[in-house]
Amino acid sequence: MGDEQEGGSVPRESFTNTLSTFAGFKEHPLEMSRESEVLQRAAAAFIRDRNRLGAFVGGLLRDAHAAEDVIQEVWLRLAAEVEKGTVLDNQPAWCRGVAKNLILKHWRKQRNAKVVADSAVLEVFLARVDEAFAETDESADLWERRQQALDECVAALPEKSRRLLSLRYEGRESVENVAGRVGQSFDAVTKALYRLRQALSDCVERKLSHP
Amino acid sequence: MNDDLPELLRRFREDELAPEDWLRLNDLLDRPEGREALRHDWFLEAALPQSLAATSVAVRIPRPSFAEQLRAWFSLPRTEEPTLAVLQMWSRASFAALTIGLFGATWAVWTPRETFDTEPDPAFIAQLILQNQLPDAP
Repeated sequence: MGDEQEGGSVPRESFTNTLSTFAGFKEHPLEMSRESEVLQRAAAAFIRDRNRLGAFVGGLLRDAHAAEDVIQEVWLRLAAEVEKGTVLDNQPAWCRGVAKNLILKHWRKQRNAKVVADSAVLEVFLARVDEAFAETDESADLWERRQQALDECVAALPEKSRRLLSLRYEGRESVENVAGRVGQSFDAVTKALYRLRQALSDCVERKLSHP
Repeated sequence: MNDDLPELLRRFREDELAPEDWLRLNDLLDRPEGREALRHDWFLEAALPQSLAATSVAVRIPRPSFAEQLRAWFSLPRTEEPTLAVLQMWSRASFAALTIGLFGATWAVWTPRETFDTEPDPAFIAQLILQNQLPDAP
């Protein structure tokens, strides 16, 4: 993904930090031009929506590194657009649109992509996914609260469950590898992970409905 | 929400969707509850690594060293009540002074010292006198 970027990319680890620093830059407010103010506002909004955009891109791509490259590219294009003076009515929707095109380009470049061959079906799917995320455009802060609730739910899990999730989601190991590491069958690990996801999802909903 | 959806989303994640599954998935996503389920599922997928990392960091936070605990203990007390603060400072200062005093006293009593006789040895004095009176060698 990174090789196709036009404006060069920021290293993966420092991207969010760089953006945060940029968004919070107020050293010489009087010297700041109107253009840089607009760009700073765009960066702040981008950071606020970062988790949601990450879920959209990561959910479609199912590849964390490729997703991070897409998000960086979206920011570069957004910055270029804002610098040109374009006024974006709905920045999150605009970012999702750009991300969607980059994802399609990525899928087309992949020779072994297992994405559905029927482009009409894929188009409907992408439209539905976009609609699902657009429904929360007005309540982007809900994602922050959701993240906090999930942090609490994960912290309350028994050590054994956390280790299982950690191997799968932090270590990004395949279910086969996880099964080998914990000495259980593939089916047992699949079921355990499914139940854990379900339990975490229920826990988050409970915390959000009864804060 | 239809029970098929979590399974279809799982298959999508694992790249295991058959062509008929795609159609079924699109049908389910046509409904608001289906789209909500997709949001929740993808949120979990994206947010879990962060939450797990945050939990690992919280578990791995080291206990403060003894020196840090001691420094914190001797630092100014954080209380809103001025009388209580003064009392705490006074008690800590007294404790510190008492400790230093005890150490000092122990050192003074137990440390071995070189002693000097007030009465010089007469033989030694005689030898000194004799050395001074003899001419230089040879």
